[in-house]
Amino acid sequence: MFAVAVIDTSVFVADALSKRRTGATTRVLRLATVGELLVVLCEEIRSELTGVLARQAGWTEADVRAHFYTVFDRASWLTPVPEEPHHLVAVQGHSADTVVVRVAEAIYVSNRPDLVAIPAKYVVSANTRHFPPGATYAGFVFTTPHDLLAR
Amino acid sequence: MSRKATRVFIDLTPHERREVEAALPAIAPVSGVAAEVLRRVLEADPVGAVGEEVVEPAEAYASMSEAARVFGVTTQTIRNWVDKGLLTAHITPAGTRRVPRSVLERVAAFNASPRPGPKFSDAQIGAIIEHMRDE
Repeated sequence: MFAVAVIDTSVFVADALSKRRTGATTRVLRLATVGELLVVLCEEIRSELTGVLARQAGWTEADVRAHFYTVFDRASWLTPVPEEPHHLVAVQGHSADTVVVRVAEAIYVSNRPDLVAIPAKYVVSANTRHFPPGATYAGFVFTTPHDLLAR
Repeated sequence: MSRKATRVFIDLTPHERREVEAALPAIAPVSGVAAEVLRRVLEADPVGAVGEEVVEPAEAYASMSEAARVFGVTTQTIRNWVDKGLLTAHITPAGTRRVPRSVLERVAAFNASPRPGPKFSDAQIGAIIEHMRDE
């Protein structure tokens, strides 16, 4: 297994709305459909994704499930740990972003030694202001789709 | 087999067999049932069980160039991904890397899945992402 990766809503949004089909976000999601990148997600991220795509492009929940089915059905779906002040610090004070680091932390309390055992752990986000590349949280390195592919 | 059981058929490659065997000790403490299921899968594969390589048909694999087309990248990128462990490949006795067709079928399914609605430039998407959690 190459890595375990929490994929932020921004990556899915970029793939769904882009004119291009060759961008790094789309390439990361293609890899996420085939298993060497073990994706960790939570219902909060899927719900947020549905809301953003509904507002921006009129997507329905069924559209989201249909387009991302091959990613979703391979992902490990965990429940984020409860929010604490240090989560806010990890995401530069942006409270709505804490769900990403809280679901990353969830691998340690969700009885998933298979995920914990994978040495390479990433939070993959297209938002470099809230998730500065190279910063870390709970063993997860923040990275962009482009940088993940370059590793 | 009980009436509520489901009979499944899977293709188990030698590599996958080794991975399952290696993972079993870690899985057993987490779920004895899951470990038992995996043991039954291994026992149901007597060819692999005696350590012989299962020869899969050549058509089960695709070339690097075909994989590159499906992933939308260059063949060199596919080789890099294989070398880094991002992508699973079979190495032929001649040293040629081949990608399982099952992998490409999943990626092709993702490529073909509908993306309704308007599309945006990279700059517009950057702005949407920047503010999506402000709304």
